[in-house]
Order: sequence, then structure tokens, then C-alpha cells
Amino acid sequence: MDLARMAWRNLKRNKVRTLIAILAITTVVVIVVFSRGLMVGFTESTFRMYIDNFFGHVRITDEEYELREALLPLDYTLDGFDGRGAEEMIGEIEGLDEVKYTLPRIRFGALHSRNDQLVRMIGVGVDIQREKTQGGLPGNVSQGRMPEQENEILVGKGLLNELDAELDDRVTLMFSDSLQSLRGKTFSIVGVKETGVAGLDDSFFYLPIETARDMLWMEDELTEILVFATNPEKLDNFQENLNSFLSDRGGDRFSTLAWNKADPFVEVYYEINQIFDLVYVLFIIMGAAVVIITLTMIIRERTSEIGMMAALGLKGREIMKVFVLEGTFMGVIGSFLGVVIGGLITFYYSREGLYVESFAELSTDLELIVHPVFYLAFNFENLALSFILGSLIVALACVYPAYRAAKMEPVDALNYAEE
Amino acid sequence: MALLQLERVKKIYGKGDIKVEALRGIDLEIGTGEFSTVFGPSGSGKTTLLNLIGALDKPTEGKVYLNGSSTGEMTKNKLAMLRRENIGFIFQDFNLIPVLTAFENVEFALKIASRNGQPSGERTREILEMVGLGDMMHRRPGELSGGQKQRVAIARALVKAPKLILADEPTANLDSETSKGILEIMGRMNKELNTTFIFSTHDPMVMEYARRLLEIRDGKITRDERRE
Repeated sequence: MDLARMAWRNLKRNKVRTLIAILAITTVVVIVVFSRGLMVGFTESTFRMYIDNFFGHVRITDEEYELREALLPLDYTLDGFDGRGAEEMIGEIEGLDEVKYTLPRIRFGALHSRNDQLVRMIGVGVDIQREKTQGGLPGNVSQGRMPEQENEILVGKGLLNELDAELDDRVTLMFSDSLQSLRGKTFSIVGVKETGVAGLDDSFFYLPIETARDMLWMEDELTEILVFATNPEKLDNFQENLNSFLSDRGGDRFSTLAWNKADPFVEVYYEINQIFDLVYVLFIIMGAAVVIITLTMIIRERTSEIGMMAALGLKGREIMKVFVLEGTFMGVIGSFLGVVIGGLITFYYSREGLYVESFAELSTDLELIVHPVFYLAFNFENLALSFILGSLIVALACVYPAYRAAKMEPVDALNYAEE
Repeated sequence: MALLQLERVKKIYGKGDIKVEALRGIDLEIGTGEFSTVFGPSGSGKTTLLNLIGALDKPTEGKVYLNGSSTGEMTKNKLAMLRRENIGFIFQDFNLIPVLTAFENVEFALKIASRNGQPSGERTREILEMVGLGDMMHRRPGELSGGQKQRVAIARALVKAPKLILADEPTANLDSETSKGILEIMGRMNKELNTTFIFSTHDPMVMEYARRLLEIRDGKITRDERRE
């Protein structure tokens, strides 16, 4: 009879008590799996939105453009190394090993007049072929298709409502070209983009980059290049190398901006995540406290048995092992159940999404770049981490009561029952 | 050389002004194969004496030698090893592990004592048959009577073939018929295996079986009588 098997059988001695301890662990692990799924899902989807729509992993612009970005100027464009054109510049950047792909963009301001009201919006010239193969834009088309002809546009769902238009309608937009001349052009709405994010759906329309160049009187120029890294984890290195590369080719006036430095909200999300990591540990410690109390009760009840084991010649560390194993079994079973139940809940909400009305209203009112529906992240890493965290913290928590059991003098332990 | 030797052993409990002198200078020698009983009124020091002999406790003064080694200077781990290899215990309340069967309770003690490899189970079966539990070895303590439990406890103490078995009031919770059966088993083991037995008891029946009577009063041995 080895100590592990004895510890396992001891779990059945007081089934209700064991069940309560296991359920306490299960509950906290379910909470941890769910909240991690929620936080990771929220953070990842928010970060992806910043990356896919605004910055790539690193965004290249003209230095001055970055300073005046809010005005969407067309005076400070990327016209290539030594003015040799943006296409060649993109080709060279994509030749770098660290670069996975790039998405060229031209952003500009536009207006539409409707019922004496001006509707403001942002036009984005995109490379349709690149977007189709590498970008995230086609995935968000909820109706119609991507624009292909020179007079076709894809419009955000919110903006479509603002324009009081429908799919296949024609709409005339006004804009300033690169020569500061006010111009107008009529487009057909061939697609509707719907991300669920007010900040994206209410303001943007997309058109082929060739059309944008043509109507804005731009040559082989861009306002920005979104660069995607092969290894996004090493973002600082990537940005540094990209800066050196640009500088070496005479691109000193070009500026790079990493996505995670672009918005103070991103930093806040990082910090919240770190705080939550601590909260997960605290949650599990709460569950472990139930196991500690249970184990303390068990040790008190079995004091004379501890004396008997010592009389048989078990050393202190062997007695300690019996109780640590008993508590650990509770932790492992509880964590396993927690991971299964928490995993099922997380899986459900990763597919269906969790709609919290007040949050959705707030994010829409403030036009935050966050998804109003929480899609939880369901992944093996979350489950494995929660299981390990639960089992490990409970096992560690068992050490102290088990140590106290091991430190008992055999004679005191044996006499305990006689008191 | 005697298996067990006590020299001017004192045991004092408590600190400061509140002290209880449980043993007041015991000198005693017990040889291999003896079948001895320690008796005396409650609080006379019987259990304290057995705890010191069994290396469960250390003397406040004096020396306890078991197999030539003084227990007073040993670390907790060394004391555990000494108990593991040399001493079997039989308790008044049996102290069996309730989640293990009779066989597993006995096998557990053997495994603890086995330094090399895992026991095959043969020795455990043999001992359980010897104490008359051959057909009940797979029952848990909750399914056994008091006498049967005590027989498991005896088998557990005997299975590792210790030099010394200490029994603290082994018949206190048993009726006289069962007590007689238990004492006969222990007497037979003493003869067949030459194992040294020391009992503490109030029970006159146990005293009848003993070949050496040690009476203890107020922490001192007041009578040491051998008989055939």
C-alpha cells in the first residue's frame, strides 16, 4: 500500500467534506477560466482591431503626417526612397525576412450633404488584391462585395445609415485633393462593412487605391504603409530594424509607429491584464483556503492516526506526503472539473458572444475601438494554465497544515485521542 | 547484552512551577524473548514508561538503551528508523487505518519496514492466518469485531518480525473471552518467534499470562517478579 493510494482512499472517508472542498476549487477555477477567456478574448479582439484597421504591427508614415494626422493631410505622403515611388519602397520592405506582408493605404477626409446636414467621413484607399489575400477587410463585408471598379465603394454599416443609403445606391462625396482643390465624385455602394465597432462602422468607407490616387491627384504615393511582422512578439526589435532599414535608404523623414504605442488605451489594457493575472491567483488562493481548512480539520481528526504512523516508523516527511497528496488530489480533481465546466462555458461564449447591454451602449456612445459583444477566447493555453494554477496553488497551500502534522511529537499525537 | 536497558530514567512533564514527575528514576533490564507486564494504578507512569521504551518519547534524565543504542541522543528521523526496524506497537484503540483492508493494514507496516523492494504479500497472508484472520483479510476495520481488529493490530506489529512488541492495554476494549484468545496468540508468537513482549495493563488476566511482572507506583518500579 503506497502513500499515494492511501491518500486517495482517504478522500472517501468523509465524502461530503471532500466534495465541498473539491467544489470550492471547481468554482474558483471556473471563474478563472471564464474571466481569463473574457479578458484575453476582449484584449485580443481589441488589439486585432488596432492592428488590422489602423497600424499593422508597425505603421510607416511621413514624420509630418504623423504630427498632423488628425487633419488627414495629403501634403506629407510616402513617395518612396528618394522620391522613387511607393511601389518600389513596398517591394523593398517586403524583401525583409522579418516582414510578412504590407498593406498600403491612402486616408483622406470626405463629406456628404444630406438634408442640409454634412456627414463627415474618412475614405481609405486600399489595395484590393492585397486586402483579399492578406488583409482583414473582406472578412467584415456583411452585405455585397469588395469594391473593384473605380467608382465603387465599401461603406461602414453606421455610415450607411448616416447617409440614409442602401446597398447599390449611388452617393456623391466631396473631398479636397492633394492640390487643395474641392472636388466631388459619385460612387456606387457595392458592399457594407460591419465590425460591430461604432468607431469603425460609423466613419469609414473604402475604395480601390488606384481610384483614390486618381481622384486625389496623387502619383505613386501613399499616406501610410501597414507592415506586418513574421514574429510580432519581438515588436521592439522589429521596429528598430525597420527604422535602420528606412534610414539606410534615405528615408529619414519616415516615421514608424508600433501598434502597441499608438493608443494610450492599449497600455491600459496591458496593465489591466497584469492586474487580472494577480486577481486569478487571489481567486485560487480563496479556493485553496477551503482546502487548508478542510485539511486542518482532517489532521485534527486523525491526530492519533498520525501518532500510529509515526509509531510504525514513518518519517515526518512521509507523513507530510500523505496529507499533501490528499490535498493535492482535491486540488487536481477540483481544477479538472473547473477546467471542463469553465471550458464548456467559455467555448459557448466564444461562439455566441456575451452581450452586456450597458457596455455595448457605452462603447458605442464613446466610439471606442472595442467590440461591443464579448467573444471569449477559448484556447488550450487558458485551460492548461488554469488547471496548473489551481492544482499548484492548492498543493502548495497543503504544505503548511501537512508540515504541522509531520512536526507532531508521536507521543502527543497518540495521546491526543485520549484527551 | 540486554535488548532493553533503562538507567535512572526520569520523565518530567510541564514547565516552570507546574511540573509533574511521571517517572522518578527507573532502572530496568529486559532481555530478548521476555513476556513482561507493567501494571499499576492509573497515573502511575505505565504509559510513559512504554512511550520511552518504544522510542516515542525521550527521557528528561537518564538513558534508555534499545539494542545498545541510546534513544536520548537520536534525531527524530533516527528514532523513526529505530521504531521501523525494531519495534511493533499494539494500541488499546487498535489504531487501524479505516480505509485499508486488514491485509492492507498489515502490508502497510511491512512496506514501511522493508528497505529492499516491495513485499510479495506472502508474509502478510501467513501472519494473518497465524492470528486466525485468513478468511477475513480483505475486510476493512469497520467490518470487523473488536477482537478481530486487535488481531489485525497484532499481525501488523508482528509482520516485520520486530525484536520488541509493546502493547498498551491491549485487552482494555475487549471482553474476557476475546482477551483470552488475543493473549494466547501473543503467547504463542512469543514462544514461536522469540519476540519480546511488554504490556501495560490493569487486567488481571494479562498478568496471569506474563512471565515477568513489573509493578509501578508513583513513577517507580516497586515490584519486579519473574515466574515460570
